[in-house]
Amino acid sequence: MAIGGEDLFFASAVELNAGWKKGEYSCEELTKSFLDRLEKRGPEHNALAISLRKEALKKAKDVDGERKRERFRGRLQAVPFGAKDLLAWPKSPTTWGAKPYATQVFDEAATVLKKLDADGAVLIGKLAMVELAGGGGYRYAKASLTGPGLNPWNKAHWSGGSSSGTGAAMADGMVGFALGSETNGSILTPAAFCGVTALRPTYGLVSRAGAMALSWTLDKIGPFGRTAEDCGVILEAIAGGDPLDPMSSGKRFFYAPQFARAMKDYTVGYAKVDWEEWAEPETRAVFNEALGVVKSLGVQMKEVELPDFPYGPLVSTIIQGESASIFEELISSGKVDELADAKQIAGLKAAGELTARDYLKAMRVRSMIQAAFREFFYGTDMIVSPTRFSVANRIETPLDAPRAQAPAERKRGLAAHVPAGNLAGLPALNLPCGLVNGLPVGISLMGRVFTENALLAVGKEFQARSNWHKQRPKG
Amino acid sequence: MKLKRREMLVAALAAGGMKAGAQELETSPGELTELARRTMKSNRDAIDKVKLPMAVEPAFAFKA
Repeated sequence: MAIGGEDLFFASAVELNAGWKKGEYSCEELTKSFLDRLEKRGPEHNALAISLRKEALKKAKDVDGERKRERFRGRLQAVPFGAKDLLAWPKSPTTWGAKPYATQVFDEAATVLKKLDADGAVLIGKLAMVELAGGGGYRYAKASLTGPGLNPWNKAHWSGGSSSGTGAAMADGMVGFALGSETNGSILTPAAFCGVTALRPTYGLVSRAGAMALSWTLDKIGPFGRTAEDCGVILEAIAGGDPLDPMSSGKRFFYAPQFARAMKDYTVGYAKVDWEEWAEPETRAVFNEALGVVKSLGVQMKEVELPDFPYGPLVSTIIQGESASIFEELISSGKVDELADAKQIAGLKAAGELTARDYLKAMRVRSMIQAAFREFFYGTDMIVSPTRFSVANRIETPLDAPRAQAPAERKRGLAAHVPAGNLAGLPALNLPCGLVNGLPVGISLMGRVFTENALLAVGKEFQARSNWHKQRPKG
Repeated sequence: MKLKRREMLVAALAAGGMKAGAQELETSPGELTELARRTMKSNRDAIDKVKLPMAVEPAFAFKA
């Protein structure tokens, strides 16, 4: 039995660090416990790409040496964590979840991993992902070198993607915290489907250097934690300017809960149609209970709807244009045929036919979206909406299967907040908000650029009044 | 019992609560390529409906 029993695996990163500092356990003991769990349960959920046991234990020993010398570095020191396997770490493969890249090894670590290493956090494993972060458009959950991500709440269901291993590993207590990435939904979706708190930061706040690129202008790396507070602490550690990332905003982030405004001073936009019509019928009771908790925080609520743009077609066009260039060699060499998902293969090949006119038009409309959101958030601090409108699908269900009945005409509300927020580079926080037929759902708070502290403040208050983020899968 | 590919797809769709047969999913490389092209066209058609003033520039900046 691991030190501290099962509860230790579901302690927050901040708690794990505090326990280590007090001497309740060594970093070596903590790391070994998490490694044993990750190596056993990771493969059971197709969540583990590679264990980094030898290196992790050596690092853990060094970290314990620092405690002896009272060399304290911050609130992630000694905490074992996992990273989506598109983040480079030297001396081991970084597979990008894809067969053509299964053996590639990089000399340099990704900037975010260097930062966490310098803070004394212990990288124990790389976590599975959808191949190439799903940029070509995939049909099946098994679009991955490691097979379909299995949801720890019900293994017949998907853990979500493309950060599939990250979501599952966090939900099942295999790591103390984790890093995922999002181009268009890949942090928020597995977080919602697996019942995990996770943050998509403002575009450019966190360096992408050393991370696989899917779309230069859409990719973001973000934290998965046990709590909103954890996400704030992790973001502070990984954010900041980086000359190696040409799109870096140059801004730093300081997690500052002590400067949070009173809840009554926040205005939160929402759309009734999201909760009453867009949400699948079986989810509505749970979502409405969560909305009730948001309202009970004392925030000002205001009905809003997204500016009117074709967000889905725009984000698809931009991803296609940029990924066709990024993966040009993969496609022209024919190695793209080694990918697991036939629809993704076809999508990547066809992406080369996208015209410059179409890509540039999408990028010009994107400028209009940025301007529209600047106006949208005048008088509104953030919006709240269900992250996804259903629970995780079954593993075998095609992700693009036609619905039995076409959905009725309905108002747009905030339903397209995922592509819209990604196009505008906006931050968003997924908060677990309960179970529907035993599977998690989550709500998202999304705000204007660089307002992560506001999202985290409301998220923290939401979690102080609810326990959904503490629920854990049985067994 | 050995199922043909289409029978398996029908079973999977039924298990997932979807109506099988209403629209069969593309499966061959040729069909999937055509699907990708149709999607690109429908994306283009949707974006072309946006009224785009000439002065609007793309959302990236080149600095010398």
